[in-house]
Amino acid sequence: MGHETAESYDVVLVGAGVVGCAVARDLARYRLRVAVVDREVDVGDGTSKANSGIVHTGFDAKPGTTEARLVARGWTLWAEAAPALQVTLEPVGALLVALTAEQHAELDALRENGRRNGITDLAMVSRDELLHLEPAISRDVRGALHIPGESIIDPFAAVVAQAEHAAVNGVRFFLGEDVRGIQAVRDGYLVATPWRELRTRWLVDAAGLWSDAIAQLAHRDDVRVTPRKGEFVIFDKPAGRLIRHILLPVPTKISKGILVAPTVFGNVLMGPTAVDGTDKTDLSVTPQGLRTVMEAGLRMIPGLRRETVVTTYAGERAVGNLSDYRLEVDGAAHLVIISGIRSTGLTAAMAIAEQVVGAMRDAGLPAEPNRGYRPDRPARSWRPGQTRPCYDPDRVAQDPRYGRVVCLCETVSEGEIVEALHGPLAAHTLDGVKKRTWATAGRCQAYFCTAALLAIVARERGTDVSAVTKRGPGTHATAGPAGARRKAP
Amino acid sequence: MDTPVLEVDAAVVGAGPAGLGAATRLMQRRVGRVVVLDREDQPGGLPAQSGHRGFGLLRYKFPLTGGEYAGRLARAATAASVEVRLGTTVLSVSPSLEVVAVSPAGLVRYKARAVILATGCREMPRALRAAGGDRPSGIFNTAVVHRLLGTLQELPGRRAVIVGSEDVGLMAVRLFRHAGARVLAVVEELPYLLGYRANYLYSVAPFRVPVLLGHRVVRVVGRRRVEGIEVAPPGGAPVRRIPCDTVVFSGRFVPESALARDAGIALDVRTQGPLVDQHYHTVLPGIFACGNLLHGAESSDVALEEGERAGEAAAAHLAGQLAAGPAVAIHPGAHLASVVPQRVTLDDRGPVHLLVRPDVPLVRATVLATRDAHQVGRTRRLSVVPHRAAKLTVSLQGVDGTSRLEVGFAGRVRSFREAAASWGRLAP
Repeated sequence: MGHETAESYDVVLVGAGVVGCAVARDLARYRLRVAVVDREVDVGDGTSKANSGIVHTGFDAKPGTTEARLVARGWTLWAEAAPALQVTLEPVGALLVALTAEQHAELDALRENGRRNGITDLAMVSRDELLHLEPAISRDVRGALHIPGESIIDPFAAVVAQAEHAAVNGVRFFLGEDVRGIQAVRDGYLVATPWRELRTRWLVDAAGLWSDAIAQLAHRDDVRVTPRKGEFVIFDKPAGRLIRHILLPVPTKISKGILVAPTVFGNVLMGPTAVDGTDKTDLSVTPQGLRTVMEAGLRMIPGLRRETVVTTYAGERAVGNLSDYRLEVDGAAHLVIISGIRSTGLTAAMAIAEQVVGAMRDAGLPAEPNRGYRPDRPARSWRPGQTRPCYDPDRVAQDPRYGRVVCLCETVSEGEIVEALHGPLAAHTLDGVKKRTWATAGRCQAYFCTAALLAIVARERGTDVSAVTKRGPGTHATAGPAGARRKAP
Repeated sequence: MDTPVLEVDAAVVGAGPAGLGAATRLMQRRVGRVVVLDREDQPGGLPAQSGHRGFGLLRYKFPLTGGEYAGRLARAATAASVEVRLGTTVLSVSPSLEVVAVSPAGLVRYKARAVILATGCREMPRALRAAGGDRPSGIFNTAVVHRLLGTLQELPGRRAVIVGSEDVGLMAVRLFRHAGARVLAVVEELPYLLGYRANYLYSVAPFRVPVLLGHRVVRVVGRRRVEGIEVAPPGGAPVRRIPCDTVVFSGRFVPESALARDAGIALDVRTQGPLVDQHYHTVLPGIFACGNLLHGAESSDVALEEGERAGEAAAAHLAGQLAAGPAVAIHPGAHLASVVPQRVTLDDRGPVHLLVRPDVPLVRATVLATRDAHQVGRTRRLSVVPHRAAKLTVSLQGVDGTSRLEVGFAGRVRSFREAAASWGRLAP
């Protein structure tokens, strides 16, 4: 494919994680041609897919850093944007729990750290108050620091909603296409994927774990990213009665530690570990990792020992070679590098976007308003915290597909699944449907509904069941029609 | 729009053997209007999904296929004028005997005079089996395999490893082979085969598939599709990897008790199913529970029998003939893993039928029930295994509110040597 046939854009972003999608959404407010490229077949399938689902206040960030400033700003932007984006955000608050006298002595310093970051509503909680606020907490507690602003969020919708909002405002998404080459040309870049060449004036590297590789393609050799694995354990919904707040441990020098938190879906989450590795694709769970998580979590809520685990998973954080975020906007080269966002990207994404897009405008990115801009995301029939459509007689009467419950554990109806499979950023994998509807994420872990779900995905996408994948090429859910080969090889 | 209300005499949740058995018996006792609600589009529960033979050996003295067995139960229910409503998912059951259910035709609120829960069981998901590793495509339960092959005519994979040697695991071997796929091994953590030997001879041996006893699954390998499974052999031998594209986690059934739990019914910590008395009456008056919901997977005939007894009891309850008198708990004796029912209500409605599971495999064992150290029931000598219940019938004569009832096993724990002997015979 020659340059003549290349599609032409003002901005090409590499990376459709929470940060890339936030930048794309911000750019969509202007009359610009914007494209997002990602190697995965769905948005938010890298670091953004496996996290704690928490929007932080930034009380514990290192004062004076870009990260501290953008986490605090990101928190505000989420609170403002969540309703229009239809993303479930619940300000449940956090309790930073001291289990020993030494830890208790550190709470004052943490409160002061918060104050320096502009978080002034932190309050000390006595042991008695804490036992009242969290009746299931360990009797070993000495006290806690209350952080009212810490919130839980639907981390999947956090990405999908921003991407969808960008898409309805004209941003193009090229998913399942890895960037093979970047060539500097006069007045911009040529970005090559296996399927196309994109000519762009600006290049934004928001590739998370692979932001170093993308930077290298753009001849920047100083960007380094190493993966830091975090393993998580999810408990079944009855465990939800045991906690009301996000329960944070007193952080150590090495890590924020293993927290116990409610999720917007009604489960309880425990994790993560923090183990530096070398393999960015390693999402395996390990016995020792899970043991570490369980031991730490049970120290705070011993009663979880009797609760049922639904699933375990792992994510990789992108750790950069700077001590702070790397946010570089090179106005001369029209190159933006966003790297080393570690674990705070979910919170800070919109603030990162605000800063980066502001700097791009300062560097000459034209900023005419997008006249057809739609301020809202298209309506969804359900989001966490709302009653499922199958409980609503009117909606079932309007569309009988809401009356056919496919995923029993989470009471997800065919109607919601069909909805997830259509629209501007439609799911077309099993994981995509799961992220948008929470189907198969319940206690049975797809025991009851896999076959029905496969049939619906195949029907709506107009493919064979054998073509349906879990998350893109190489992840086929099945192996073709049965009995095709009577003799096994 | 308000949810339409339908008054019925009894609402049964689940159209498997237990639910259909209960409903049919209720109609035979002239109870009036009985509805059975089931989310599937066909009646019969798990047997309806299963093509293989071996159902109904106790009831019909003939090895029916699952479909034939389900068909017989469904026809009996229809003949008894039971209303079976399919494609209908029960969303909630309340202590006031209201059952809310939804189908494409709409929501319905059933006001019942008795509710029978027969929601069955499911296989334990992977995360609970301590199998670490990657999370690729190609990991299934046997129920999913049945549905893929049965409903969708779709092959789950071409080279499978089955984890677990309960009957469903052994039968999955045959299923895969008949669909044109290979099975590389059956991996069993315990040092003995859990399923019936007959099943091994029928479903596994003809295909020369090795059964790896005493092998623990360490992790699943594969970033995108399953590429293999790592197992640790007994005795500290090095971990070995079996290349495959499919892993089936079979068996380890747990009651599907969320509906009961959300209704406020106390669950038994041993079974994780509802706590019931000998009439399958839960702690909530008018709500009964039966079948695999009470104990995990037993044979369909056992579930059917329980369902019929529960139907009988519910009919008596509707006629005001079921005692709500004092109950005494059944205490665990030696080697007891679980017992259903967990307690008995003191009345004169005849002997009590117990399903008892041991915590370890025992040979030359008897199940023993005592009242204040007096023997009130015992079985003949048999071999028992943890995942399959032994039946014991106990007389309530002489039992009063102060009696201490205890059920346990007397027998010898099956030695590892005995287990290892069978292991030697199994691994071809």
